[in-house]
Amino acid sequence: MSKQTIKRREFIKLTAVGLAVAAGTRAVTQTKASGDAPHGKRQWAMVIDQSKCTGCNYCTLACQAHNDVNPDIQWNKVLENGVVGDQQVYVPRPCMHCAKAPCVEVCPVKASYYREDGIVMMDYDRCIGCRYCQIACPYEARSFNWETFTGDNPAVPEWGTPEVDRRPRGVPEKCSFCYQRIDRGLSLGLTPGVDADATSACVVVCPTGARLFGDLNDPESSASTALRENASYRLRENLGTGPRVYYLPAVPEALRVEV
Amino acid sequence: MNVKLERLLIALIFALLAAGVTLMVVSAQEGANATALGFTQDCAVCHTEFTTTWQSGAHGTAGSDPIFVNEWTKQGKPGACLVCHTTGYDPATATYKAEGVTCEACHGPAPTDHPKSPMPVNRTTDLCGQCHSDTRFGWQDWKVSTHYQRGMDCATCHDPHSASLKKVPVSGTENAADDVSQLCINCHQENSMDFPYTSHHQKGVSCVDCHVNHLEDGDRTAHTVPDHSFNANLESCNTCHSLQMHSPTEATGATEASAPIPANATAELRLSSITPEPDAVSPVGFSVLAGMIGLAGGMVLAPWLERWHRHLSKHDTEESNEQTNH
Amino acid sequence: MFKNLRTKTSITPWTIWLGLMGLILLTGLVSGILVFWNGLVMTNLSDLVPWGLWITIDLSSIALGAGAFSLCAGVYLFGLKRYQPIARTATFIGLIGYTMATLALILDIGKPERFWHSVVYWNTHSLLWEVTMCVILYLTVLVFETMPIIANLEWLRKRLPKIAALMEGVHHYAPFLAILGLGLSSLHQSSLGATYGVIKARPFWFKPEMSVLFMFSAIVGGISLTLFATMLSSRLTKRAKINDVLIERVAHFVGYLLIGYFYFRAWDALATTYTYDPGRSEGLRLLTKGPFAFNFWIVEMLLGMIMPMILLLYKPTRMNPFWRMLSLMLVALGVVAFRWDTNIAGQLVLMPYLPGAAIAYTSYRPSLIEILTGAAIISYGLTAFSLGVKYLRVVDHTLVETAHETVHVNSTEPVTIS
Repeated sequence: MSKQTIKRREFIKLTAVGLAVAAGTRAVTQTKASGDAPHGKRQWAMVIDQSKCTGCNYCTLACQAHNDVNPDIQWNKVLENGVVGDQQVYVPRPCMHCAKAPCVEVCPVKASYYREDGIVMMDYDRCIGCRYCQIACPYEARSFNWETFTGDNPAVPEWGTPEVDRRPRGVPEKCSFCYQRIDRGLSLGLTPGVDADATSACVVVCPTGARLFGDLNDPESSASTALRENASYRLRENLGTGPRVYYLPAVPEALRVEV
Repeated sequence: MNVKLERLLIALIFALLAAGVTLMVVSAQEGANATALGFTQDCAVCHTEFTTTWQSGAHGTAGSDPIFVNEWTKQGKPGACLVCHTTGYDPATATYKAEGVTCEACHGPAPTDHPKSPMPVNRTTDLCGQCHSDTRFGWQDWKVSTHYQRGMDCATCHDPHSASLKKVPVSGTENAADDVSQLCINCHQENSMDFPYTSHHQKGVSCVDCHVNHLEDGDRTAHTVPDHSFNANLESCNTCHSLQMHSPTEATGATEASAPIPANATAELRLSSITPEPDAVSPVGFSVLAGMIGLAGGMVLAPWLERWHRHLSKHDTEESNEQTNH
Repeated sequence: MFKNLRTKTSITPWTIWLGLMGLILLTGLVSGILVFWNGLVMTNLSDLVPWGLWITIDLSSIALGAGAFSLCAGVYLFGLKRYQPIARTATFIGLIGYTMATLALILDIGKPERFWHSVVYWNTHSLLWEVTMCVILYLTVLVFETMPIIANLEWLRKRLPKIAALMEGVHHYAPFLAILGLGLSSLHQSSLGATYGVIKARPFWFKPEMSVLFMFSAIVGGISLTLFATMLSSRLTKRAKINDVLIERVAHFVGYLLIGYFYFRAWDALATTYTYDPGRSEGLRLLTKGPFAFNFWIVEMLLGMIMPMILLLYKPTRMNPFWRMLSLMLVALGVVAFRWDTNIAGQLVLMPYLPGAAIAYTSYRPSLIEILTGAAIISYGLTAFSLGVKYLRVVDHTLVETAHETVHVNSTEPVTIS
């Protein structure tokens, strides 16, 4: 009997030590594992001037064409938000690419991750489709592929041509700031925000020039200049997500003038 | 070593050699020398999505369109026409690279390392102006229009590949609108809100009938000019109201009835399942609750009900007994 | 030839039960294949309500399987050895519950073939990752803990006696496994609550007591389900022999636990009524006056907590097997209702992200495919438990494990064990 008791005590001691080691390692890895915001040389941001947006949805269509998006899904949604004077005010809502993105924090397999330049990327090969990121996103920016998108994309080629692979069924997708255009443009020496071939499709196609794109770390970029010279706001600022899409509120004088 | 095994090994080596050489030869056939890019056939190899829309559009048929060919031949095949109706026309040698407005006409010479480098794309009005600055295209009208002043270009409304107007999907339907005015409504939504209630709309007049009226210039069917200043002028009014100029008669409605203009052309995906108020308590819940209360009530009342029933039936049997006894 | 067949297949309640379960399983299997083939578009899930019936089944199965770790902890770590037979049943129910949860998850994730990604690709910040890892590890622990139960299988004892003995011997390590189980379970049961509790975007969920509520409800619900299943089996088959005194004692304990759970839940709801908090107040309104009103007031509160609390703490009703069974079943139902309410209500309240926009609502009703597959998962659990009762003596209080009390002796003299 005593032999058994000693054996049990040993086991319990071993277990306690084992658990302590496990907890300690976990604490260390926790501090090391950085789910923190990126801090690269460039930090991309988008500025949308609500005085100029007419709600025409060209941005939505160009995005669907360039990223081969299912016509039932909209990465960039144009929503109506009130009236200024007698003009309807629109809010085009792409992914905010938050500096502290809830989707990155909650993804169990890190399929959602930060890039150095601030873009929140999706690894569609790693994603298991648990939709936790959809639950966590405060902006409803993610759309799940409930079914396989087969066949032609009606937005192509009138609004653009696809530059990335089509996503499979079972993964959520979202706006990527057209990182493929940014990367390609940078490698050719172009400037995103200035050269159309290096800038997001939605920014390029906007007929009124309501969307601006640029590097926040560059004080001369169109985005930094717009933010410096105008009042701006971000969506759900109180949540502390640090979105990278700024809105210039519609000013009655600057709104579209009657023809 | 076993003789059979040796033979087998030799056979395997030969097999592998044969397979390897064949593989090399076959893969050498693929990826032949890239031809000089610049002609439609080469571009279409990768950019298949443009072939159908471009081929049947005005740009694709610019060189082969029968009306053009007829007129051009009638006028003695002047080289001046070919400057726009072909790609890469060289006036000195009177030769051209390709018929019609092909890819290279707008996208310039392809970089040698395409597709690594993108094709040059000049989105400004000046590129289109190389051919379309003729007065026959209302070039001057466009330059004074508010649209141009505000930084828009031809590609805002026109799809350069199919050389037709862009189609904007109408909310709720799968198809894009056929009515050209849909493009106007897409941006000018406030103006389109009240227009359906006007008598002009009831008579079938749409945006383009007044604002982009075709100004006649001779009777050349190929080169009538839609007024790109977007100003509705007296001439557009006179299309129907000329008789009313000096006398109060009826207007002569000349256009066919257009499709009703939807109030909001924005392609929205607002789900119908979103409501401003939450769903009410389901009636099933109420009925189950009522059922449970009934059950509990029944259980509680059961002894008394039983007693009452027994009392009633005893009373009945007593009465009937009395009656039979009597 | 046919005469033999006829005598073999007799229509007994057991065969009817198996037949019914088999039918539901088959329907569910076909539905499941349809879902894998066509995608999740067959469900009524949407971008606004991405987690529906299957996730609720997953949450509830994990909660109701929590009897395993709590009872094993009680028996092996707190020295309450006499409840060991109940802990056996609880362990088996735990294994069933966790496998049910795994089935529901495989159905639910968009890429079922990538379920192993959580084990290979880590995101230590993610609570769902932590839940997945702990569930996988705990499932392993449960498999080990269930080995002595499987060793009771007659067929195994006859054909592979050595393996049976080996499996029986795992019971040796029961305390060690109990510690592991307690640790892992505490981690993931509370993390399951925290999965909702850290979502800042939805104020209805964003509160620290989520983990406490989930942990508490799991312990209460798991023990209740174990007791209920034990009592039910003893009434349905003679094979399940129970010691009513043990059950009554644990049920009494559950009554006290319910006071604590009721305190937390009621206080959590009451505190939400203080001042208007956008999102949170709307969520509570859904529970109290909206589509979940019946679920919340009647199933969760009245039937799930108050009534069982009274019935289990009041001796005459606790001693009465009918009232005791009813209370235990209602507690388990109440825990399921709590998980359903929390999961769905939080998604039905649409927090606006546009300035000045109002809070909107959406609705969700499971589709037929979801219900059929869900029913199949539940019937799998019921079938597994019934088979366990029939062949593995899962509910058998006469079977006292003495393995861990044995003494190794090398002598040939008889040894008396007191």
